[in-house]
Order: sequence, then structure tokens, then C-alpha cells
Amino acid sequence: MADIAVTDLSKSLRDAIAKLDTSDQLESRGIVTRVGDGVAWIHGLSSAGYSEVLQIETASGVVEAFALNLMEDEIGAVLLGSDQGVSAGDSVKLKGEVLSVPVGPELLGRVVSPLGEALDGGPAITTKERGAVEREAIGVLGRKHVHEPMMTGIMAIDAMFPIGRGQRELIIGDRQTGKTAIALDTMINQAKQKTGVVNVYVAIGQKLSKVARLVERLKQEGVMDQTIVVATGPSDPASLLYLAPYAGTAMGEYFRDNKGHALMIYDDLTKHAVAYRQMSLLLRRPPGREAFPGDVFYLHSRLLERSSKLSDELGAGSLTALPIIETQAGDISAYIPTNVISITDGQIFMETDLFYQGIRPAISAGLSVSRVGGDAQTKAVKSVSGHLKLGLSQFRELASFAQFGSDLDDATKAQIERGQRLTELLKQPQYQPMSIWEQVASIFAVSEGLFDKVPASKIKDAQKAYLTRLWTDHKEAMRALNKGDKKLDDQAEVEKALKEVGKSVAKGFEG
Amino acid sequence: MDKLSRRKLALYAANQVVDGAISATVIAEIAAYLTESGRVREAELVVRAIEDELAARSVVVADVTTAYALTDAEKADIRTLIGSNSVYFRETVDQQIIGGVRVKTPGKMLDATVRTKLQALKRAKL
Repeated sequence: MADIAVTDLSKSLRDAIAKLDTSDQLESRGIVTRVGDGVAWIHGLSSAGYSEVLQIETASGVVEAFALNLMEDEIGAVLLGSDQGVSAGDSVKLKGEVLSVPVGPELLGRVVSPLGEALDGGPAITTKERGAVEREAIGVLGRKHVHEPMMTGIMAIDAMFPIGRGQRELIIGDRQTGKTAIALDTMINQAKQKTGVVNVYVAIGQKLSKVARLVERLKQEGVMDQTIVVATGPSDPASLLYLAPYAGTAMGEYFRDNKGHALMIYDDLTKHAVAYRQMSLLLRRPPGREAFPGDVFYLHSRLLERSSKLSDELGAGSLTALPIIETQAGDISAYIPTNVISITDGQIFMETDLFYQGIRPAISAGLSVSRVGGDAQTKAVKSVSGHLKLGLSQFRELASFAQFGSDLDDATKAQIERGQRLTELLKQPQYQPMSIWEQVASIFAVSEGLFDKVPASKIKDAQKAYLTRLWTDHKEAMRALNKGDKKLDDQAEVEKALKEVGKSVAKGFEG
Repeated sequence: MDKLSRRKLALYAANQVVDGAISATVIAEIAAYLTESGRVREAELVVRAIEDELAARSVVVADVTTAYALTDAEKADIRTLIGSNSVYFRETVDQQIIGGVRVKTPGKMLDATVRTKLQALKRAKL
């Protein structure tokens, strides 16, 4: 063969690679050496990539797995299906791609598995596009600060802990404190207020009966048409529970990247961490605190970092996340809760005590916070709710003194009474999200002292009568208020109407 | 098959270089190895590694960019600059540099183009 000058190495090497006759018939194969507990150990396939899909050929068909442990002479792979049919000696080949799921508007209204298979008995899912399950988050330049409101319809949240589009707000609390209820109400509010936000609800190891009930409710409320449910049950393999939030995020990202807005709900990430712990321990990775693997922080940070508000150049879409974490006996200093608290832009803390006192939603005013939502709060709500959080926290503190029944000065008494009224006002039944004007009018009535003579027990009735009167007598003014783009101070007529109606309604409930 | 590092590949290739040329068979071997082990993306890096290895043996591949074709006298000057007898030139003529010369060897660069000087002036003025 001819000689090649050293100055032409690059070009000639590229030419040589292009000219090579590769034989397509020969493909690399591996073999299953051990299998059990949903994990297969495979010899060979040295060219496998991390997180690449492997196809194991068993007697009863192909079972897919993905490679998580790449070692010198062995691959640890987690099976995506049952390990029943897989046995040692089965042949394994590379699929040549990383995990992806179908994405697109075709998924709206459907219940799917983390692999994109239909679970609702409907036709098979066919979409034009597929999205990678693991995807890197958008960089700094592709982002914009959070500035548009994501109204939950829950007065306590929208007034005190506003959430913006692109924010990650954690919902944390013990079991049975109404965490899912908040997420569900937020989804319902998106349909009621016609915000056009797509909901993606990811159930991670939830009882399938609970998921079925939730889907039924969403259908009843007319929300299902703009919702995707990614469901995994307790009997699914840990690998599917692990994949569910990433797959759901890929589906949400489609809307974000196409100038839309999506809301992700991860219910709940505690179970997700537990599923990942199971996989990691079975893959023989060393356990750390609470037996979780060392990269459990990265597990959640890389997931939640994908929620973002995109810059105008990228279409200004957004992906908001409401992850849910279940605590044990209110302990927010456990491993997973502290991790996720530090990742997210704030948390809504649910308290068992409040829940059983009948204060529902049982949101703790002292421990909850929204770190970035301030800019995103609607101006109208912001103009009336300034002192709400502080007032409520102070009231809770004072209320513990008041229990002793000792003599209190008038100022303290007044503060306690207003606090009681406020607490009553912020109670809100499930499935009844409130629109902007209802929230503004209600908070205004109490904070301006219009209801000061109404006893706390009658506040809810007074509020109902007040809102009904406002809607029948001042429909146009309330519609204007509902846009939420102006401070209440700048709308003198609306303010006057609120005061007049408030005073006259309050008279009927005095004593 | 054990994974061969780029350094080992480069060492092997550099040993085959005689008088600034390498047998096409060796190149074909490396191409086949990279394809078989799924490392085609490393091709450019392998070439860099070979050039580095050659430079360590005083066989220098120099990328020379000028606005007009080099004369033999200029080439001799560059050889003295690099300080090696076996310098092989990869010449590029680019009018955009306006004048002067840019010499790149493995790990080193001399940028004496008029364009760069003008840009430096512009920055200093700002």
C-alpha cells in the first residue's frame, strides 16, 4: 500500500474509516450469567453504554432491560419487565438506543405506563415524536426568571405562598394530611380558570385504586382532557417506579419546548427514592445514610432541574413542578425531605394537628415558604395579602397564650379575633378552587375589618353571601378584578363596591 | 479485546513513520480498530496523539496559515523557529488574516497575523 504523509493523517484516517466494509450480519451479543430480584448480570457486550436498552431473548419473548452498572467484564442491568422468564444463558443484544417515551398532544386524556403503553384500555399510543427519558436540563442562558402566576385556586397558597410558572414547589407532610388534594385542586383550577396549562400527574407506586379514583374525579371535573397520567402501582418492578418521573417529565417537556405550559406532579418522591434504593442495593452499590445510595441527591436534583421557565428565544414555555414528599411523624429533617427541600424553590408544609383541628387545607404558615413566587403573584392578590402570612404566624403564637384564659389587653384580643377570622376564611373545601376575584374580595373583607363584628363561626357563611352578592350586583367589576393585572388600590370603584357590599352583608351575620 | 489507549495507538503509529510518511496499512488498521471498538468519534484525538508523539521525536507537523503562499526562505525561517530539521508543513492560504503568519505545532502556537494585532489594538482602545 502507498505511504501517507504525516500532514494528511486526519483526512486519510477519516477516509479509511468511511471505506471500511462493516458486516451488518455480525452483531455483538452477551449472555445472562445471573438473574434475580429484577436484576440481570450480563457477560459480554463491552460496547454497551450507560442507560442503554438491552434486549434479552427468552423462551417466551424479548424482555427489555437497561444497563446501570458497567464493569470490566460484566454489566448489571435492571429489567423493565418480569424476571420470571429470564434465565441464565439467555442471549442479550443491544437495542442501540437509550430509553425514550412517546410524547405529544396525543397523550392528553390518557393513562400510560412509564414506557408509554396505554393503561386505560384505550387504543395503543401512537405519537409523531419520542422524547428521551433522561435529558439534560436547560442551561442558564436558556432560562428566564419566574414571573407568571400558576394559580392553585387555594386561597392560602395563592395569597401567602404564590407559585409561578417554572417554579418547583414541594408539598410535604405526613400521610393523610391532604397533600394529593392540593395537587389535585391545582390541576382542577387549571381547567376551571382555562389557563391552558397541561397537567402531568405521575403516580409512583400509588395504590392503583387511588389512581383510578383520581382519574375518575378528573373526568368528572372536566380536567382529564388536558391531563396525562403516568401510573405505576406497588406491584410494578422497581425499575418502572424509578423511570416514572423521568418519563412523565419527558412528556411535560414536549409542551414546554413547544411554547406551552405544563404542570408536573410527582406523587410521591419518597417512594421514588425507596425504589431507587432497592435497585441500587440489588446492584450491590454501597449503601449510605438510611441505606440510600450515594447519588440519591442527584436522582432528584437532575429530575427537578428540568422544570424551568424558558427564555423568549426558546419560546417562553414553562414546566412547573409540584413534587410530593411524605414525612414520618412530621420529621422534615430526615434524609430525603431535607434533600428535596434544598432542591426546590420552596415548600408547602402540611400539619397533622391543623388537619385534625378541622383547618383544611392544613397548611403551616410558619414552615411553608415560596422562594421565587413573589414576582409571579397576581398584582391584585398581592395588593391585599401583604401582611397575611405574618399576621397568621403571629396569631398562632398568640393563640397558645390565649388558651390560658388570662386577662388580655384589647389590642391582643383584637389580633387574636382577627386571626381566628382569617383562619376560618382560609379554610376551603376540596375540589372548589377559587378564582382571583373571589380570593381578592375575601381577603380584603377580613383584612379591612369589614367582618370584624361577625363571629368566627359565621365567617364562612358571611363570605358565601358576600361573594354571591358581589357577583349578582357587580358582575363587570368582578370580571375586571379577575384579570388580576391591577392592584386593588388602583381600582377605586371596585374597592368601593367591595366595601359597601361587605358592610351590608356583615350586618346580617352580626352577634 | 482489551481497550487500547490513544497513547498506545499513537506510539504504535509513530513507530511506523519513516521520512514523514506512514504506510496506508497502518492507517487502515487503526481505522478498523476504532470502528470495531465503537470509538470512531476519537479519530481526531488519535491523530492529535500521533502528532504529539511525533513532536516528542522532533518530527513536527506544523499548521501554517498565511495570506500568501510561503516561499522557501520563509519555510527555512519557520524551521529555525521551531528548532527541528524534520518539519512538515500543512499550509493554508487565508486572505482574512490580512498579512503575517500563524504557526501551530502540537502544543504550541505563534500568532503573528496582522488581523490578530489589529484586534488587540481595538481591544486596547476600548
